[in-house]
Formats: sequence, structure tokens, C-alpha cells
Amino acid sequence: MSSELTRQDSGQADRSVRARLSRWFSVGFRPEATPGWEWALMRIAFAVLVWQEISSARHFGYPDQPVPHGLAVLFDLTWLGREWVMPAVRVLGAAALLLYVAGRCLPLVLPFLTLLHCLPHTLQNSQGSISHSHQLVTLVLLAQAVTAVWLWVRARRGAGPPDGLSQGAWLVFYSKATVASIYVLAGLSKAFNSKLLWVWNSPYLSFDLVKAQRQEYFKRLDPEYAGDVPLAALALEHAMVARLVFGGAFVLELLALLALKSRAWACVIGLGLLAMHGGIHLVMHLRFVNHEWLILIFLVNVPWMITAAGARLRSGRMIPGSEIKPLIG
Amino acid sequence: MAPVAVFIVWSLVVGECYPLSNYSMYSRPTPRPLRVYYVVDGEGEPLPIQWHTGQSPAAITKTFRHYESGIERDIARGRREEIGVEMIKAEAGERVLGWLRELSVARGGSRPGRTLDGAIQLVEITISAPGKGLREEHLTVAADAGPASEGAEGAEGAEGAEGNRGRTGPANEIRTTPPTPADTPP
Repeated sequence: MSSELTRQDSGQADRSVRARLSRWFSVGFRPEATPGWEWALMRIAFAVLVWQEISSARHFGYPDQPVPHGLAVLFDLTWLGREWVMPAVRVLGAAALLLYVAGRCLPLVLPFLTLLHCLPHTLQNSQGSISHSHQLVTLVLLAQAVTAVWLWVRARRGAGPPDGLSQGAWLVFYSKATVASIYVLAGLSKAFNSKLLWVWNSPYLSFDLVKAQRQEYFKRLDPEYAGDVPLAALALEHAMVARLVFGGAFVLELLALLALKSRAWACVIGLGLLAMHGGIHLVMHLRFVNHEWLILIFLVNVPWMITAAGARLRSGRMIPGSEIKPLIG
Repeated sequence: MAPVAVFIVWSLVVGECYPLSNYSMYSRPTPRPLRVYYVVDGEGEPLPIQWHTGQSPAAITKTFRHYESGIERDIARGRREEIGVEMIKAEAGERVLGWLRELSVARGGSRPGRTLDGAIQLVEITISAPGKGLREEHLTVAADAGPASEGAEGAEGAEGAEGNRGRTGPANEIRTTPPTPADTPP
């Protein structure tokens, strides 16, 4: 009799957890109303980042594309190294970015900026080694371009943006989704490539820590990076601690799409990802500056964070819709 | 959310195709030894290769692996004769050294000393954990005597560089210790 009651209790608890989880996941994960000032500040910050990327000369000067990648498989991109290209890119890029910041002609400007950013970095990645430092900027531009064109097509058919939201709300949503998605991708690749043994085998990342330090040293022979790598030895020696630390980052990557639940969740996930990048920089001397800026702009969303904190201080509670509710309970 | 799911699945399937990627770096931690490559001059002194060529040791390692796997693939498909692992590495390494030399010429311009015109060698570091603790071995896998030796020294210079491969000696020292600041040239 008592065991039957226990089974009933646990069955009810299961249903209750399932119901709560289902309720939790059914709210959010949609674009949120985005005030004009918030979207404008994001555009300005993103435009500065894109300008830094496309006005940099170093990705244009490759005489050859020995291992073509992406669009370089279809087209020879070495013409990007010609003398007239860089000044032209600067002028056209600046004009397009000014239009972008002003929020004008986005269905035209965004595909153009995507191409302008994509081509030189495709050429750079066609040199035989692949860098992941710039892809996310191209991807966010691409996501915004596709969204802007989609909304333009809807407008031509007489329909406004879905859910009665602004164009900015949809562009911000898919920018956030793109940033979060690449972390999920990294997590899934770790899970699949290691046959689900990534966390267990993670102490062997100590080899990579040594490799990263040696690569940093032999780049410029900077004495700061010479010598032993004590953290690598520690990771091997204290394998369970290493699994906990690396495992935490792995779970954070897999859960990154929770950033789409609400602004508050985006901020929490963003701060977690920034902490992860800080840790990677500390132990591997690897900086992903573009990723960090994109997380700051679209996930952490500093202006919103300040406004939310101010509103909370004034009213003694968080602004509506910004609360982080626990998954269970 | 459907477009997000499509993007994730598509990226996983396509893999590396700029701007798409499956971000598979550091996704296979294993006890197998890990290899990384750097460049030294004819005397075995490390070169600040990024200053010379604009390429980092990480890019050099990836490029070496690309050439190495290309040769291995050609052998596996019967497109060329079978050769030993050392010879595969030497051939891939020579291609990498040639590429780096070309880049240094393109980048050199008026900056004195930037162009790699002397002998250069590619060194492999093997990182492993055979017992307790980490172990590192440094071994020269390829050498390029350089254009400077082609005139006066001619074949002798090239032969000298060729001869360094696979031997121990000043230009092919096997080191098991990490680099120290003393390795930094003035």
C-alpha cells in the first residue's frame, strides 16, 4: 500500500516537473519588443566592430589561394590584393556603415556589408590554415541581411513584421541567436567528435595548453611565454578538478541558446561566456576579441543592463519581463 | 527557432566552409601525442616567424597538416609511391618552408632583415604524457637551404640542408625541455 502511494507521489512529481519545464520553455524564445534607442546603440557598436574588421589591410594581401574555402572554391579572390581594392573597400564600407547606423536601406546595405566582410576573410582562410576569429562577424551580418530581406519581402506583400514587432526586434533576435548558436555548435562538435567522452578526456587538454604556450612563444619569441606550463601539469595531476572546470564550460556552451529566453537570460549566458573566454585567455593565451564584443553587444546588452538596474533601484523590483525565473520550483 | 535549428544542423553537416564552421577545435582531447611546428634558422635558433611572414605557428601547424594529409591521401589512393612517415613530413615541411619564404619576400619590403633569405628549418614539438607528467620532444623535420646558398654554394648548400634531416646535430637537436628566455635571440 505504502509503495503504491510512493509510486503515485513520484508519478505526480514527474508530471509536475514535466509540466513546469514545458511551461517554462513555452514562454520566451521569441523576439522581444526592442525600443529604438536600444537597437540604435547596438547598431553603432556593431558598426564600429565591422569597420575595424573591413578597414584592416592585412587580410587583403595574399598573392595566392592555395586551399580555396567557401566562395574561393567558386571564384578567384586574389584580386582583393590589387592596389585599388583597399581604398575602395574603405570608402564603400564607410558609406554602407553610415547608412546602417542610420537604419536606412538595410535590405541593400546589409547584404553588401556581408559580402565586404566575407570576401577578404574567405581569402585569408584559403591559405591552408583556418582561423575562427572573424566568422562570427560575417555570420551576424549574414543573419541580419537575411532577416532584413525577409522583412522587406513581407512588406512588399503588404504584411508587416510578424507578431507586430519592429524590424529591429527581429534583427536583434536573430543576431543573438547567431552568437548563441556557434557556442551550441562548438559544444555539439565536442560531444560528437569525442563520442560523448569530452568531459572525461578533458584533462588531456593539458597538451593543448602546452601547445598554445609554445605557439605564443614561437610567434615573436616573447620571453613571457617561455618556460614551463604549470597549469597543464596540474590539469593532468588533478584530473577530476579539470573535468569539473572544463565540464562547466562544456555545459555552458550547450545551453547557450537559453539566451533567447529573455534579455535577462541573454545577459546571464553572455556574462558566463565572457568568463569562459577570460579563462581561455588566461590559460591558453587565445583571445577571441570579436566574439567577446559580439557577446557584449547582443547578449550582455550593457545599455539594457544599466536601464534594468536603474529601474529596479527606482521601483524596488526588476523591469517587467526581465526576471530570471528558475527552471524548476 | 526553426531557422536556428536549421543553421546549427547545416553548419554541423557542412563543416568548414567560410563563414560556416562546426567549431571543432579542441573537440578531441586524447592521450595521443600532440604535434606543433615552429621555424628555426640554419643554426637552430628560433625565428620570430610572425614578424617575418605574418603567419603564426598555429597557422604553420595547420598548413603543415594540410600538406601532410594531402600526401597521405595521395598514397592511400595509389596516386603516388609509398614513402615513410619521415619522408612525408619532410616533403610537407619543405612546402611549408617554401610558402613561408614567399610570404616573407612579399612582406619584407623595405624592412631590413624581414625577408627569410638564409637557411630555415621546420621543427616539430611532440607533446605527450608517457608516464606521470608531460614530455616534450623537439625534432627537425625539414630544412630549406635558402636562395643565398644557391649561387656560390649551389648544390652543396642544398645537400647540407637535406643532410640535416633525420640526424641529430646542431641543426637537428632533439630537446626534451621547454624553451627558456635564453633561447630568445637578441
